[in-house]
Amino acid sequence: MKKDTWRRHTFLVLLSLGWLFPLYLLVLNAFANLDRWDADFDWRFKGWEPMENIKIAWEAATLTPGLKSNAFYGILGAGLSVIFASFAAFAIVALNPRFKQTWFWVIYGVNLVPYQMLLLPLFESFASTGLYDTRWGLLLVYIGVAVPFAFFLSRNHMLSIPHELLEAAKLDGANKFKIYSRIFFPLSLPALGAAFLFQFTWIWNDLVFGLTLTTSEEIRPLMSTLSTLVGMYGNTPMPIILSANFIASMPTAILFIIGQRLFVAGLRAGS
Amino acid sequence: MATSRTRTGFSTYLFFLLALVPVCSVMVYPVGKTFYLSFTDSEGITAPNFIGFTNYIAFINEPVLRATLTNVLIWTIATLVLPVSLGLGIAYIVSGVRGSAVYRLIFLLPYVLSGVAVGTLWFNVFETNGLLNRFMQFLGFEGFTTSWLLYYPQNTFAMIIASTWAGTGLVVVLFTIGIQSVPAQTVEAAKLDGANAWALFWQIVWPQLRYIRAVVIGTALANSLRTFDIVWVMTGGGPARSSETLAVTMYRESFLLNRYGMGSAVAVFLMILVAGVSFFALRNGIKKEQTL
Repeated sequence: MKKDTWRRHTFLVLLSLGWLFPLYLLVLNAFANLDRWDADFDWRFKGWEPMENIKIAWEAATLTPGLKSNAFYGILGAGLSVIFASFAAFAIVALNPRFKQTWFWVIYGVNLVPYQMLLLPLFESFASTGLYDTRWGLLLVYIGVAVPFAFFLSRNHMLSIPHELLEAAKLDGANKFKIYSRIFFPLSLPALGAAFLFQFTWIWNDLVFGLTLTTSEEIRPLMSTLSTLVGMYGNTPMPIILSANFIASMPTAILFIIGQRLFVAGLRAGS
Repeated sequence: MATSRTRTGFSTYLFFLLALVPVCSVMVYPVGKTFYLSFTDSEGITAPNFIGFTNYIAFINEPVLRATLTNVLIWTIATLVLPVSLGLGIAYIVSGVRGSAVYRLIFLLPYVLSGVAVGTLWFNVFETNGLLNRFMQFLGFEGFTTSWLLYYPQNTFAMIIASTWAGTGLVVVLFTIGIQSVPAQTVEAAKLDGANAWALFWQIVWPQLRYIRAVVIGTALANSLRTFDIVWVMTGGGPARSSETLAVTMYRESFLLNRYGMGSAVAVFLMILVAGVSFFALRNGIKKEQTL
């Protein structure tokens, strides 16, 4: 057993170093001293000015409204889509409805669409219904796109919940809403938590829907603001662009650090 | 049938309703619209005329289509081999090791970056005057430098490395959820029977991963078939459309050339491809549900 553990650690440490190296490059270049910077992405140390670069990036990219909007879109979008999806998953797994396969494909099937395909029709219908450049309009888009995968993930997790629990609850006379809230919801919390994290991250990092469906600064999500204001190949120095991206990725990084503990703990408690 | 069918009453539909409203308004309607546009000559300004299958025929006869489909195939196979198999391997090796949370986090960190950030980072590594080539020169390996992004098929392979780096963490987490739901008693019993790590994996863990495997493979297939962000940022599908994927073709036709009708036809083709592949990949997982 000892030898096995050693081999595992060696393998994992080597692989982890490979995984961390690009992140090291990202941080090293983001926080390099602007005066010593000479236009090339480098693996060598060129000064360390994190506070200075973050300050410049924050002002150059006007990050505050984007961060606020993203908190709204991320929390509400991911939260509501996961709850809606878990209702539908519960109905398919536990309520044994007619046309089970059809329900599954209607909700999951659209997840197979390439998202770029939605842009033009959405832009047209948003322009004609007054949803263009509104918070609720963009939120609706995020929920619609996020539901299918959250549904797929929670359905598959709910399938592993022992069927005897359901039968026992039915014998006790529990109604559908009780069966959902007392059995299926709590038992699938780890999967729902994971779905929330993934969909939050997806919404947080969205670029194209934000670019296509919004225009004003206080409505536009973060990545779209970042891409228009900083301009990938504009005159902004690379360290500032990287610093702006670094700030923009901090919330999701922190969420994953906290979240990973939560859903792993949730699983331990469940087993 | 083992289960008594509960009355499919109004309250059952209520459970579907909240999911259906956003999905239908945001996705089903635009998909329908795209189907319609694919049979027209729409270019955005003038009213579209119905032209039958003209767009589809033009698309199928494009000489570059073969290269594009080859790229899509390379992306799909590489995604199954790299992020999926590697992710499963990591998830299994990590589980039960001291510090497993830290390892998982390391693999997951690239996933929190936006697609544009990942693309920018790797573009700077692989471009002709990029970090990789300069590092080779620094070490004295001039012979190994090449224009990674300018030649086929190495540009696609370079982008697959970038995408593997960004996407493996998600697979690790999904498989970890699956592995941790394997009852601890089962694992202990197998260990007492003298099963080694290899046997433990194939005989105890693998069968238990059935449902999560469907999630991972289903998503990986769909995502690889419609690969877009990384290609768009790193090569734009070039040079000479050599690294293009179908999603890139669609985007270029629609939003750079304003040929919405043609772009929609590519979109419909891609959608049918993804739906077909996913249906076959997921069919088993769905059939099993009915024996529940």
